[in-house]
This record gives sequence, structure tokens and C-alpha cells, in this order.
Amino acid sequence: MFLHRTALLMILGCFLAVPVLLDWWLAPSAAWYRPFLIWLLLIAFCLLLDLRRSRQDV
Amino acid sequence: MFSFQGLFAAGVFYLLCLFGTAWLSERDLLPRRLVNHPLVHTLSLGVFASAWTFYGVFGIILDSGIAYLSSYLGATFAFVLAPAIMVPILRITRTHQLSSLADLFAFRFRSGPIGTLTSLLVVMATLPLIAVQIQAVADSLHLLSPEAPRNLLAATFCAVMALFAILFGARHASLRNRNTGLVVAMAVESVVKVLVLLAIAAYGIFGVLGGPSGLQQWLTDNPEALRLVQQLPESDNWHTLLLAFFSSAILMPHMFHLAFTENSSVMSLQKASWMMPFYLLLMALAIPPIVWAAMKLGITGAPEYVILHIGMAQHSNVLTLLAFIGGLSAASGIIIVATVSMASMLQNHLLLPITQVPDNIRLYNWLLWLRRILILVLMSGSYLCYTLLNRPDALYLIGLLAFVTFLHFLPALLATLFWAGINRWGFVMGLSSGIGSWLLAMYLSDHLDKQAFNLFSDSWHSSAVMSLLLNCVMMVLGSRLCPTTEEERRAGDACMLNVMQQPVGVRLNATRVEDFEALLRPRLGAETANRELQTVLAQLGIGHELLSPLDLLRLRTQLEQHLSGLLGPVEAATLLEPLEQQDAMAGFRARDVHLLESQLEQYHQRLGGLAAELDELRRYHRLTLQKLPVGVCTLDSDGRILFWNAEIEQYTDLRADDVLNWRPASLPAPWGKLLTEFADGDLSHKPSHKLEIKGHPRWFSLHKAQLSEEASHAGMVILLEDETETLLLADKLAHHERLASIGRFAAGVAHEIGNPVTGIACLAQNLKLESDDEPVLETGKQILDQTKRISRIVQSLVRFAHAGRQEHSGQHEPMSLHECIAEALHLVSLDSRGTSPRYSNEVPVGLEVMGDAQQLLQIFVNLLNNACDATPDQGLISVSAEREDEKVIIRILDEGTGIPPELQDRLFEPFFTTKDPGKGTGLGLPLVYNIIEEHYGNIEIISPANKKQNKGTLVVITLPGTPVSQP
Repeated sequence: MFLHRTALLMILGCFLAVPVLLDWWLAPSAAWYRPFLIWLLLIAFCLLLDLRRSRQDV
Repeated sequence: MFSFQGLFAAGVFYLLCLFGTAWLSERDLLPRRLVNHPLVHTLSLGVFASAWTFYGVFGIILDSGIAYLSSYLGATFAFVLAPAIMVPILRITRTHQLSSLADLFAFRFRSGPIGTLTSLLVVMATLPLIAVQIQAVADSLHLLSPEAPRNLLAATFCAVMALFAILFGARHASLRNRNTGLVVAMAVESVVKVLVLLAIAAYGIFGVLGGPSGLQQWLTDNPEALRLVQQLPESDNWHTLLLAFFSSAILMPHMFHLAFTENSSVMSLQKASWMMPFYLLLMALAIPPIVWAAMKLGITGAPEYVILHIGMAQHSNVLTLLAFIGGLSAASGIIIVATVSMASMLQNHLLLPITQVPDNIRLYNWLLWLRRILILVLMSGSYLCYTLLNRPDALYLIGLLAFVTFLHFLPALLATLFWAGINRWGFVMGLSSGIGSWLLAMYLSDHLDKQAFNLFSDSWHSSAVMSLLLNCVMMVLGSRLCPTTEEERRAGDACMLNVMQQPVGVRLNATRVEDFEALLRPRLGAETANRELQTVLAQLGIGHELLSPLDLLRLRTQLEQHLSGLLGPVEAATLLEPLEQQDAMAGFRARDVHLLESQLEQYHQRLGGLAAELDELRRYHRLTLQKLPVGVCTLDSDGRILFWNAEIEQYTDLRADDVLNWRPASLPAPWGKLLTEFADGDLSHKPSHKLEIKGHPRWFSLHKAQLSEEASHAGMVILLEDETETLLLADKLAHHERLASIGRFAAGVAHEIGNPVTGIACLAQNLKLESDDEPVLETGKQILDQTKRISRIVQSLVRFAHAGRQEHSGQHEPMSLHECIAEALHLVSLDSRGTSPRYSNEVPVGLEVMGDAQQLLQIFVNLLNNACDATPDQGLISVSAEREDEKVIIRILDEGTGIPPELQDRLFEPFFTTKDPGKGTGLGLPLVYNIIEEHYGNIEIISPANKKQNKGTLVVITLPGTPVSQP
């Protein structure tokens, strides 16, 4: 059976962690632009991954 | 207030611009680099931002605060995970030419009804969503110009959208062709949407709130405004909503169409993994300032249309028009692409299976018109939905129903990518129980009857989660309990990440391209069948005439993928099904292994972990066999050649590519006969088999082994060893050994003959004293001459036998070459042998060489004697010499008959002679060779010396001269 254990683990992990992570992300106590800053950090991380991937492909 | 005509003109102008962009792209009038740039495709994915995220989001933020981000964040997560989820889907859809979600599931589960079920569910969920878009456009028009005929405008809008979809979304009969115009237009729309939102947000900040510092001050003064935006809803509804948006970003027909069907490169999806989150961030970031500006301006009215109200409150026609155009672009994008995508879905899964293409109509046109009619039908359906949607407050409820329906496809999609165990029963049971229980729960609750449905406070959350859980459980149970067909398992492997499709154990009923054509003709028509086949043959780069079994299998696979783009995967598979017949034979078959290997070559980059390690091991073993310095050939269970390594290529001059899949009997002589006889014979080894190859004898040893002891037809390996060199070397060694023994024998014979000959010579000499009889004296003289001759032969033999001994090397001293040659010429002239050639000693007088005078005299006498024998009467024999650095080169040239080329190689062999018996011993030249070797010189014989007259022989001897310092 080709069941990707990593994928299964990731789905379970997301199911457990994402609600907590989201509540922290969108916590109303901080500055209104804080969620957007965290969002920007996530984008920067993805950009970095993409750049590394492009370099490896070359 | 705007006049209805003005608004209409503005809308038409915008849509005309969109038509223009699409038209320019299709006509190649825009730079190709721009049109095909991954950035353009990535931007087109912004079609996700529909009227829901342009208008509806303002209603959500005012009602539920920061939860408005759920649609943006859901899509953000989908794009962040694009390399893990979307890229594999793209690979599957591109390889198998799948154009929609229904195609994907129909291909995965090898079932037409599943394609139909998926299509119907998708259409049912999408039509109300499109109706919501139409409603948004109609509402915005109505808001700006209350006197405008609302339904007429909505109908006109639908007609224009249908026209656009037909013109730019249904241009090619085959779904594998990209609609570049559509993609570019969607990219433009995405840019327009985000620019409009940013412009209005900037106006809100700088024009209404007084810049960033003013905004900060206003927020400090109005903490309830900040709290309104920052508040998190009490319920967990928005978590589920986030998941629903996550799946919708991948599964909604317009997203699927743009992300996979219109996409030709993985790169745009990889770029989308950060560009789309950034795009969505910009859109989301613009919302709070617009809301705050509206609050400061004290705008009341429908919260969804806040963005339109700002311009109206500020009496700014530009702002209002901008907001209207932004809303128009948000709504039109999803309407156009979703309609195009659903039309192809319905065509492949609803109409094509039940209709027959009329014989007298060309298939391509027929398909195109079918799709165009479907677009019109779908657009009419959307309009009908819009007219039935008489409750403006039902916007959120409809959206929720649709998004959660798409969420129910997510388990099956993930299982398609990551779990090969899912089967069609699991899919159907999971999906029907999930969606069924969800709709039932919503029907039984009072949500549908409530006047105002609240997305974030009403308790739909548990129904959605429980139905999704039921979906997953039923999917696993169904897949485990119900049988999976072999065909489904293969399709499952084809869809799995990192799992390679196993070669199909089928034989094809077809042997020629014409067989394929005959199969396609009834369904596609002669012209289309021929054109499709030619395209596939060109793609594969194989000829039309001679097709090997491997080529036939590749043709079948490629043709199915190709036709899938035209007719959908189910139709394509059904069409080609009669070609297959199950193969009962076990073991490896040549074409399967080659297909497997060619697939492995393609998959190489994608293999990881254990699979990559195993592939490396496979490559290593293959290379070992390939480079083995012994010829290797393996035969499969069918007796066809499976492997042919480099060494056997060299032996046979037959390339592996040419002989793979052949039976050994088909190989050219002598290999065909040799290998067939050996493979069929009982012997496992056949040593030193002689073959005649290109006129030269070659010897090969053959060995064979069955690949499996149990099965007699499991294939075999044959080794071919070239023994020619070894055998030739052994022959040479034996020859040398024979010569050496002759040498030793000669020395013994010479010694034994010498004594009696001396006795005979003494007795012959004594005759002079004992008789005066003239005839007796004459006989004595002749006996003496003959004994001298015997002595000479014996001497030669002894010298030959002794030649090479090291004791001579110490006696080399300078000697005059001229004198040596003169003496040799004198001696030779005394023994004239019936001919009288002319001699010429041209050696310079002072020239000296290092050597033993007696031995050198011997070689010159021998050579001159040979020259003398070959030269006719009065022929010239000349001897010349010159010094070159430290060497002396001596040339002896005669005008004799020359030496035939075939004899030249054997001149220095002992006892080889061309002279009559009794005249030559065959030891002269070997002796010369040995003496010269002993003097560190060399000898070369050139014949004919005079190429024009083809006669004469030139002997060139190189000997060491006297050292330069010596006087």
C-alpha cells in the first residue's frame, strides 16, 4: 500500500496545530497590522524556498 | 447618481478592453515572451478573488471582524502548499491530458459514472455561485442607478460573458490547447481588481483619514472601530470555512481550469506559492482602511457595497466607477472561466458517452459547437438561478453550501495523490454520504428558513465537520471492503507521487498503424482519426511503416493520452479498449522491460528516498553488465533479445537499438544461426567455436544459463567470449618453440656431420698422392668441392645456432666499411654461379662502422649472394652507404626480379627458401638478421625497389657508426 506516511502525518499535524496557530496569528490584543506582518514573513519563507528550488533546478 | 447609459457604457468599455487584450494575445500581437511568461499565468489565478472577496468581504468584516481573512488565508495555504499538492495534480493532468476535476476522478477510478457524478455535483455547486456574481453586478448597477432595468442588465451581462467564453474559451476542439487570450484576460482582471482595492484604500487613508498618522489618531480616538476589525468570532465556524476556502482554491472549476488545464509549466505554480499569497495579502490589507474610511464618513446602507458608497459619499465619480469596474472584473472572471470549465466537463462526461458523432460532420467542429452550446446552456442556467435567488440575504448561505460541497472533494483528491488504496466504491460512498449528510443537516436545520443567515454565529460548523468525517470514514471503509479492479490499481499508480506506472501486461491486437486507424475511424471519422494518429506518431518520432511491439505499446499509451484531451479520459480508454488482450505469459517481456526503463529515465529526477537508491542500484548493475568485457545477451521468456551489451555490439557490429526485441534467428549470419542453435541446444558451454568474419577466422566460446531453475521459459543469459587473440598467441608460441628446437637440432646435426665430412675431405685429398689417373684426380677434386660445400652448410648451421650469444658483443671495433664491402664483392665474384653481374662499391672510403669484421663480412656476402642469384646477366648490383648522426645506413640495390609481397613476411624465417633444392639452406637471411640484431642495428627489405619497372630489391641496413669523438 502506497500511503504517504509523511502526508498523513502532515494532515493530522495541520488539523491539530492550525486552529491554535490561527488564534495566535489573529489574536486581537496586538497591533491591527500584526497578522499582515506574519503573513508577509510566510510569503518571504515561500519566496526563499522557491529561489532555492530554482537554483537547484538550474 | 449615475445615468444608466453612462454606467452601461463604462461597463461595456471595460469589457471591450478585456476582449481586446484577449484578441491581441490570440493573434500573437502581444509579445510572445509576455504572454507565455509564468507571471501572467500566476496572476490569472487571481480569478479566485470573486465578488465574494470584493463585495461580500465587507459584509463579513463589519459583522465578524478579522474572520474576513478566512477566504484569503484559505487560498494562501492552498498556494503555499502548491508544490506538494498542485504540482503533482498538474503532472497528472498534463501527462494524461485531463481537463477538469471530473476528468481527473474519472481517470483515477476508471469509471464514466464517477466523471458524470463529479460533473453534476460541481455544476450544482457552481451555478448558484455564478448566480451570486450576477447578482453582485446587478445590485451594484441598481445601487448606482436605481432606474436601470435590473434584470435586463443582468441578462445582457450574462450574454456578454457567454460571448467572451465562446470566443476565447472554446477556440480549440482539443482541451490540450491553451487559450492564451483567456489566460491573459484573467491576469489583466486580477491586476485591475487589486489596483482598484489599493487605490480606494489609499484614498481612504490619505483622502478621508488624513494619512497614516491621521489613521493612527482616528483609531486611538475610535477604539470600537479597531475592535470591530480585530474581533474574533466566538464560534469555530471560521476554522471550517478556512478549510472550505482551502479546498475551493484548488477544486472550484475556474481555479482547476486555470491552474491545471491552461497551465503548461510547473514553474508558474511554484511562483504562485509566494506570489498568490502576496496578491491576496495586498487585497486583504486594503479592506480595513476602506472600512474605517466608510465608518468615518458615516456610511450606512448595505454593508457589502461599502466600497461603492465611499465614492458616492464623496461625490467622486472616478472612485465610484473604479469600484464598479473592480466588482465587474471580480465577477466576470469567475463566470467566464467556470462556464468554460463546466462546459468541457459536461461535454466529456454527460454528452459524449451518450451521443454518436454524425458521420457527415467533422469531429472538431462538432465538438466545438457542442461546447459552445453547453456554454450558452450553462449561462442560461446561471441566469435562471439568479432570477430564482429572490433573497438577497441568502448570499452567504449559498456561498457556504457551495464551498462546503467542494470541501467534500478534498479527501478524494488527497487520496488520489497520496493513497493508492482508494477505489471507486470508496469514492462514491464517501462523497455521497458526506455531501448527502451535509445537505440533509442544512435542510433539517432552520438556516434555510431564517431571514438572515449569519455565517459566523449560526451553528452549521458541527454539521460540516461531521459530514466531512463521515466522508473520510466511508471512503476508507468502501475502499477496504469493496474490490479494486486491476485497471483502477494501475491508474492509482499513475496518479501517485513517486510511484511509477507499472508496465501493462497486455498484448495488442494491432500490429500496424492502420489497425489503430480502423479502430478510431467509426468514432472520429477518417480525417480526424488520421490526423490524430499522425500527430501522435510525430510526437513519438516513430515511422509509419515498421513498428516494433514496444513502439505499438508506446503508440497506444500516447494515443490514449492524446485522445483524452479531445474526448476525455473515459471515452479515450473505451475507444482503445478493443486493442488489448490480456497476456497470460509470466516473466519479463522485452517491451515491458524497455517501457519500464524508458519510464524510469523520465521519472529519474522525481524519485526520492528508497526508490532513488534502488534506481541508483539498478543503474549500477545495468552499467556493470553494459561494460562487462564479455559479450552478454539475454533472451526473455518469449525468446526475444532483452539485453545486448557493448562488447557483443563490438563483436557483431550490431547495435543494441537495432536488435532489441528481435528473435536471435532474425540476426544476420553467422550470429543468427550460432545463437539460435546454442540457445535451443542442450549444451551449456561451447568452447572455441570458429567463425569466419570478414574473411578472418575468429574463435568464440559460448556459455548460457536459464534465468530461473523452476520455469523452463523464464528467459536465459548467453555469454560470448572472444578467444581469437588467445588462440593466435598460443599458435605463435608453438611456432617459436618449434623453431627453437630446430635450432638446437641443427647444432647437434652440424657437429655430428662435421666429423665424417672432415674424414671424407682428408681421404679425397689423399687421392692426389695415391693416383695419377686423371679421372680419379678429377673425382677427388669434385669430392673435395662437395665436402667444402657440406662444411659451408655446416658452418652456417653452427653460426646460426650460436648466433645471439653474448660473447661476440665484446669484439666490436671500428672497421672500414669500404674495405669490408670490397672483400665481400671479391668473394662473391669468385663464386660467379653462372651469372656475371656488374658490381659497384659506392661506399665512401673513410666510413667506419662498429662491429665484428668477420660477422659483417658474412652478412654482406650472404646479401650479395642473394642479389647475385636474382640479378640477370650484366645486371648492376650497387652498394652505397652514408652516415646519419651516429648511424651508418648501408643500401644494397640489385636489378633482380624482386620478392613477391606474400613472401616478404617470411624472409627471416629459418629454412625458408625459394631457391632450388641444394642451392639454398634457408639460413642465410635469418643469420643476417641475427648478426645485425647482435650489432644493435636493423634491416629492412624494400621490394620492388623500382616501382615503375616493378623490379629490383633494396636492402637497407642500419649499423652503429664510430663515436663522433673517436678520430
